[in-house]
Amino acid sequence: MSGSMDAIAPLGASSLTPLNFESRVPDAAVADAAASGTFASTLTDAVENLQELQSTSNELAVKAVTGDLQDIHQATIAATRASLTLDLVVAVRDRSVAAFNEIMRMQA
Amino acid sequence: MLESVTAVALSSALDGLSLRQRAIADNIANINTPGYHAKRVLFEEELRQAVTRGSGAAEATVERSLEPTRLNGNNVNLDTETLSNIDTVLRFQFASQALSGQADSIRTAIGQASA
Amino acid sequence: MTFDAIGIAGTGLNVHRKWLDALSDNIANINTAAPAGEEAFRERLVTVQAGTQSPGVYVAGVVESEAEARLVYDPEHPYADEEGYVRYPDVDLGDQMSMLILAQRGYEANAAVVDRAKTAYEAALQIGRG
Repeated sequence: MSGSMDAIAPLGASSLTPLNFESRVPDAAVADAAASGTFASTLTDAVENLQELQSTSNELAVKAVTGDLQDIHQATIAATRASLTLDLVVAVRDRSVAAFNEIMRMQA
Repeated sequence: MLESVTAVALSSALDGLSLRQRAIADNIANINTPGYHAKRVLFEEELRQAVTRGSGAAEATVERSLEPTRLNGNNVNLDTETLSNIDTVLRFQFASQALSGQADSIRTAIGQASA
Repeated sequence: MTFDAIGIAGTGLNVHRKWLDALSDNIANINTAAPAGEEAFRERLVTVQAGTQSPGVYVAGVVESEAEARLVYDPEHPYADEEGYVRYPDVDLGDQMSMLILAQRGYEANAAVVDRAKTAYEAALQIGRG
């Protein structure tokens, strides 16, 4: 190879599009997504309902042992619901924390 | 931990049911004993009230059945005892599962894998 | 009770057992002659009714049959009256035996319900266990 090397001409900031982590989704799309029952809304519901599900499950469990519940499956189903919802909520909590930590590490 | 009304109530229920199991065994063993009156264990009403009060702790009591006796003064009814036994065993199973479930929920919230 | 089907079958077991008791009483006394001047043994009948407040069946009462004695001519018998008749219970063995079979089958059927219900409840207890 011969020939002089041209200095690299400065490209200038203008020709680069900024990398934007927080790219904004148009508002209309957000409203649409919430209305159609996204994963996000399922999660919010889960967190709100957890308290109620646990309370119902406890009530039915006590009724079952005092002999006041005619169908035992109501108690076992309620317990399963509450347990699954708790698992979901805790999984979200754990994953969110992990994701947050991941991001913090990247920025360092 | 496991101090919630529900957990304490389940634990009291386990005590009561276990006592009932023993009473049933006693009754069946004495099915032909002259003059023997069947033992009955009571705890459900006490437990119901304890839960309403917000405590959940209930003591079981034992009393003798006043049902009519047969000629030899014995009033143990094998059908009653057998069915009571089945009911007690199933409820005991449920209560242990439920109490175990309470512990599992706490563990999940703390963040360990459940046993 | 919590396990309702078991309780209901329990009432069935009770009723059929009472029936069996009554039938065995009748059969045991089928040849019990009554001394002259006394009433003969009357057939025991168990009256039952379906539960109104709670499901199941309940014994309304154990009553004695209206049927009077069966008279058998046997002047030599120590219990014979002036005309030589001895009073025996008016209980038909054939009837009692067929009812015995019904009572036994009924009892077994209720016991089977208890068994099946117990299995069903055990399945319910397994819901949600991984």
